[in-house]
Amino acid sequence: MLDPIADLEQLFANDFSIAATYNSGTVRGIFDNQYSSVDAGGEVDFASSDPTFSCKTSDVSAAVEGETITISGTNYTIREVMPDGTGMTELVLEEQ
Amino acid sequence: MSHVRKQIRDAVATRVTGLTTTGTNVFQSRTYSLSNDKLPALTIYTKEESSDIVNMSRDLRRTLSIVIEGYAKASSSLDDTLDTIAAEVEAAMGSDRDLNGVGKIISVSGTEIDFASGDSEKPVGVVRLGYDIIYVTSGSDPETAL
Repeated sequence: MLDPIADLEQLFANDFSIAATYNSGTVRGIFDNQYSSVDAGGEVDFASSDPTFSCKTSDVSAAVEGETITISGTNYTIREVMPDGTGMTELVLEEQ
Repeated sequence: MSHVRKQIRDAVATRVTGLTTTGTNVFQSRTYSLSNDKLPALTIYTKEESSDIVNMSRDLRRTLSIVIEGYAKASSSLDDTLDTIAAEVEAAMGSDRDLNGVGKIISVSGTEIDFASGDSEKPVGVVRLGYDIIYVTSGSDPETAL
């Protein structure tokens, strides 16, 4: 029988996830920080990165823009909270 | 020798190199993305020019539009940084209308500022300063300013 919550627990307990510090606690999730080319209207783009952190919605249910989350020693500001409605939330981050 | 347009671009690059905020991060006609180690930066482009015949010798008076873009990435006060870059560029460009004897700076033709924050680890922004520069060449020798 399908158990989405159990699946999420297993997903975030395995090697793909890392621990982040949020609200003085530990949250496990998948950190992504891939290369991103950003067009700000100039002749050339910015070579940038696009940090996001995906985790269980229940772990960040009260998360709001402006809070800090620390991942691998780097502090990030939460800029967007994007729950997908199935128990997962993606946090869009800004490096402090 | 080179086209006077290039000589003007070089003169502008020299004029705006070493400013407090952007330092030596000055690039002419750059097409590749700017990485963090190249920021804040200035880029210089000459993309438009109009000309008309001014005498019986068919000398050409040319009006060159030159664009200087300032690039910055910052978590806070990004607009302040862009305005600082603009102030430094305007002061440098306004210090002397003569560009090494090859052209005259006429005016700032306009300023635009744009921001972006999506898909970036920090907000980014660009300030775009346009200048009109006038110079004269003979019709047959575009490498010598008259």
